[in-house]
Order: sequence, then structure tokens, then C-alpha cells
Amino acid sequence: MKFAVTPFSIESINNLCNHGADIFVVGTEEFSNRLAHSFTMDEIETLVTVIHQREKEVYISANMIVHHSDLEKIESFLGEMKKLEVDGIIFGDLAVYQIAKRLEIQHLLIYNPETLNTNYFDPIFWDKKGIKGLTISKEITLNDIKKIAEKSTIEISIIGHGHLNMFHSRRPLIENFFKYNKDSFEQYIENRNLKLVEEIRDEAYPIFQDIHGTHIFRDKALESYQEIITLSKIIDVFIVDGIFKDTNYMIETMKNYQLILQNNDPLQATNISKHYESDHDSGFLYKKTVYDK
Amino acid sequence: MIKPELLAPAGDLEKLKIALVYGADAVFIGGKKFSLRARASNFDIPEIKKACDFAHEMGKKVYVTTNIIPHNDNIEGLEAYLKSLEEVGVDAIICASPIIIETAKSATNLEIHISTQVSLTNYESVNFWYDEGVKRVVLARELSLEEIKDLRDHTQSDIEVFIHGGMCVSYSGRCTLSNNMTDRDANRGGCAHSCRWNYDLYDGDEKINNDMSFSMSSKDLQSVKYISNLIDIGVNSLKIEGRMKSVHYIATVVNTYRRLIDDICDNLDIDLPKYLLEVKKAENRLTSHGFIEGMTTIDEQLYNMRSENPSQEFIGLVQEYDEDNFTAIVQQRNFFAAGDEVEVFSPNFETLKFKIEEIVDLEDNVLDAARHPLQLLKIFIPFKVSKYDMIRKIQ
Repeated sequence: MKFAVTPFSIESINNLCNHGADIFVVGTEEFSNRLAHSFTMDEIETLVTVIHQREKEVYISANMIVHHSDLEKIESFLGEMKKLEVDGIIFGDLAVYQIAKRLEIQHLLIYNPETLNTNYFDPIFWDKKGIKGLTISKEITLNDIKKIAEKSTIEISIIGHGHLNMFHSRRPLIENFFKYNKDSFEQYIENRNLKLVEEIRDEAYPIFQDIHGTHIFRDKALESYQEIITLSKIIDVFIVDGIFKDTNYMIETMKNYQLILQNNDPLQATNISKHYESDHDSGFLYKKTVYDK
Repeated sequence: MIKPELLAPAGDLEKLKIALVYGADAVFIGGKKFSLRARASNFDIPEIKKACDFAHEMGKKVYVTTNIIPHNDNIEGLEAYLKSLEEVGVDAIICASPIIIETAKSATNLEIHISTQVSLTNYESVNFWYDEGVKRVVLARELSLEEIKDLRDHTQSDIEVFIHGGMCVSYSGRCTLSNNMTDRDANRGGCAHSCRWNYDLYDGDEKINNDMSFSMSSKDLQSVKYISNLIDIGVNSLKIEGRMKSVHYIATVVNTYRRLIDDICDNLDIDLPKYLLEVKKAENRLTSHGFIEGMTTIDEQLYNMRSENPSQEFIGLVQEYDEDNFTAIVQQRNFFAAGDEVEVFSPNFETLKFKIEEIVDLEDNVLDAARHPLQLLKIFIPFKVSKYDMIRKIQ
């Protein structure tokens, strides 16, 4: 199993490599949703060079929902990524697949529409389309992750650590709310300190508005410290998403996972998990959602 | 000009009949399995057969939603279920997950439509499914007229567009608020509508929404004004949302769009205010045009829990009419009394008014008012009405 991380700077790459990062997921805001950090095209070029020098891999996040006005731009972006010889491209909209097929780079694609990869057949379907891999949806239990991964012939990844997204609207919901109240809103756009609290609940859900719309996240970050030993045997890529965090947090997190895997010690894993329990939890790993009447 | 299909929702057999009688060309219904809207009263296989028989008799169609995003636990019985849908004569299924699409393709000849749950926002993704042998796609509700036109120009797939009803404020299928806040899976029919709840908004620790709760709730879609544009573009199917809505809602909305589409296609002068007034009689939440004119503004959002009740109250459903005695047998749907000014709403004629003179039960007792839900009553109506016509109060 490889570890994928979301770096916050070019300078942090070496340090993250030293702490077990195998893959770096990077992107630019124009084509990607909910990045931990948005890099410029020049920076992405540098990142690819630096990461390849360390013999590690670069996955480009291009998971935007595509509208017609984006088509030409994303086609030229994917062309650039082909030239840079990136190792993977993460997508969530089938337009990216269609364009990548024309550019003959569909073998680099990793499908992550966040909510749609939910059963064992999804990787079987996507294998036939010639793509590299697939990220299992966030709402899937550990048991089901095992069953999906067992039958897969393509690279299976999960976002195993980080703040998971739970809502994406195309609408500028924060801007509109303040406009309705005739208040200024500019200071709240792209502001990642905003949180929503529902009237009868205590949890505070991070929310922000950007060029792609409005995004809402879970209150607690997911951690998989007690599951990492098991996961390392069943999935191919474990993604640590650093959104709302920083480089120090990424290093600390990677150190924890490395320690648990090196010592192969469940008790240590439990202790580490306990240490973070105030603002981390196990997400849907053990929580089955209901759907009947 | 291609006359588009008018597609209506039906939560049960009665609503299905109403939708078709009031002018829908096709209806979509949920089965007991593999369908979202688990709480809508869903159809079992014998009822789906009845639905198909009723629709086909009228030369109309029935589509069944099999649009959950299934987990491993939800797959058992899929092939047998799809085969039984084919057997009872279902005209198409509406799908969102590869396993359902591929199983339908390999085990049946069912026509496949792609659900709006996968948020198709561009012609490239539409063409992906067209190349997979899919007949029709339901477009994302986030598209403007301009985008729909551009899409039409770049695909051979049939396209279906929502014209009326409730809207997810998120991209459909990409929201798990409900999963996280209530453990109910939105993509498997458990949506708790958490986007319609009240919230406080904080910047760090400071509350910034002042007196009014932060709200992200969407108004319902209403697109009377844009139907002629959608017809000009060449949209194949115009879809009304609302499998949970009442028979009166279905009848009113379906019939308004039916008359509008017919009038446009017959090149008649279109009196928009008339249709707007008519469709408003079913309104139970404020409406807007959604994304049709481009990015949404404050006018597409619900703030301060603003809502309006329907201005017209549905009081009775006609069961039969005796032309010799000018007497209708009417099933009570809401309280009414002798002396009330009412109107008959019918798929067969323009709305006609009359006054309720006398209410008599089936044992010939004269009543001062109709108090009991679903009670059958005899009422004098001075003009011919038919089964499924509706009586509503004028306020």
C-alpha cells in the first residue's frame, strides 16, 4: 500500500518523502475542487520535477464538475499534464474521461466522484474503460471496502484520513445569504474559517464558497489509525487529505501511521487514536447508513 | 418542431391515473426495490403491471426508477427484479449506477435512462452514456437554457429536463448531509432534507448570521415562461418532480403544462399570466426558475422560512356523474360546506364555477358540511363533469 498526501508547499516535499509519502496529490483551483492547497501551473511543473527526482509519484487532482465553458480549458490542461508525464489524474466528471481518451491518457485516470463508487462492480466496470484506478466513496464501511478491493483488478484508493466533504452546490450560497441581508460578503468568499452549526446540534461543519460553488464538510476529521494495518493489506493507496490543516499536521499524521505500521502494534494504534479523539473519528468505517422506510 | 413528452411523477396508482388523465404522456414511478424516495408510496410488481396496463391502454408510457447508488448489500435480486419489470411491460428504467445499467443491458432489453443523480452537466458526459447504449439522459438541474442548447447541439442522445418541482440545492447525488447528520443514506432513498434546516454561520468563534438563521434551502422550480424555449431547443422530455405530492398538485401542474405545450405546438398566442396563475394553485413552496437564466441569485433561495399555502383548496374528487339529475358523486378531500363558492378543475374543459347548494350522503341524509375524509357525497353540479375532475374552493 502506498501513502498519498496533499502537500502545502514545494519545500515540504522532501520532508514528506522522508516520512513515508509515496504519492503527492496536487492541483490548481481552476480544475479541482476542495484542494488542501492550490498551486499555480508553474509550481505544478516544479513539483513534478522535484517529486520525480525523489522517485515518487504525482497525481493531479482534476475533480471539478465540468460545465461547457470549462471544456476547452480542461482539455488544454490535460494536454499539459500529459506533457509533464504525471503519474495519475483524479477525476469526478465523465467529461474528463472522454477528453483523456482522445488524448490517449485514460490509463492515467483515477475515478473519484466521491459518492458514486459504492459496490464491487464499480472497479469491474471501470477496468473495462481502461483507467488506472478508483477511489471508494466516503460512506462505505471497512467491511465493504474489503469486499470491493478483493474483486478489483485496478488500483483501489480510499481517503483514509482528513476532513471529508459532504455537500457541493453550484450555488454561491454564502454570497447570496449576505446579499439578501444587504451585508457585505467579500470577506467571506474563500474564507476557510467559516462553520455551520445546525439549530439542534452541536457539531460545527466547515463551509466555504469558491469558484466552483459552496462546499460543506464533516465536523470531525477521519482517522484510520486502528485500521491502517488491515487496510495496508487490502487497498493500494491510502490518501491523507490535509484540507483545513497544514504541513506540520501532515508530517505528524504520517509519522503516526509509519510508527504503527513499523511496530505492527494494535495497542499503540489504539493509544494514538484516543489521543486525537476530540476532533477525529472513524467516519463511516463502522457506521452503516440506513435507507429503508 | 418536435413536440416533447410531458413526464409526470406518480407516488401511487391513483396519482398515476390522475397524471395520465390530466395530460402526462408518461409517468415515472418507484418500485419497492432499488429506488430512491423510499418513503414515497412505492409500487410492487403487480401494481407496476396495473400501472403499465392503464398507461398503455391510453397509448402512454411508464418508467420505473431504479436509481439508488447500491452498496454490496443492495445487489441481491437485481437481475430477477429487472426481468420482472421487463415482463410486466415497463417502458424504461431510470438508473444511476453501473451495476444496474450493465445488468439491465445483459439480462433484459429494457430501455435505459440515466438519472439526474449522476449530475450530467455537459455533452461529453452525456455522450459517454450514449456510447454505452443509453437511450436518454436526465440532465443536471444546474444548467442554463444556453447550456442545454449547446448540449443539444453536441449529442444524439435523447435529453430530459426538469421543468417543475423540488430541487436539491446541491449537485444531485453529491450530497451526504443526511448520511452524516442522521445516518440516513441520501443516495439510497433516505434523504432527510438537511439542506432545509436552520443553521448558524460562524467565522471562527464569532456568529455572523445575526438575527436570521443561515439558510440554503432552494425554492421549487417553475418554468412556465421557458417552455417554448425548451421546445425550440429540441428537448425530448419535460419532467415534473414530486412523487410525494398530492393528486391535486399533480393534476394542476400536469394540466397547466399540458395546455401550455399543446398551445405552443399549435402556434396559438400564449397568455403566460393565465398559466402562471393556474400553476400557482398547486404551489406549496415559493418557486423560481432555478438555473434556467444562469447562476442562481437570492431570488432562487428560501430565506426566513418564507412559504405560502396553496391559495386554492382541493375539496373533492369526482367519481361519477348522473346527467339526468345533474348530480355528481364526489369523494371528500377537504372540509367544505353548503353555500361554498367552488370551481371544477378538469382535463376536459376550462375551469367552471358553481355554488354548492346541497350536500347529501349516500343514504340520502342532507348534511350542512362535508367533514369526513374520503366520504362519498352527492352534490348538484349544473354542468357535465367526469371521473377524476376536481372540485376546489375559491378564496
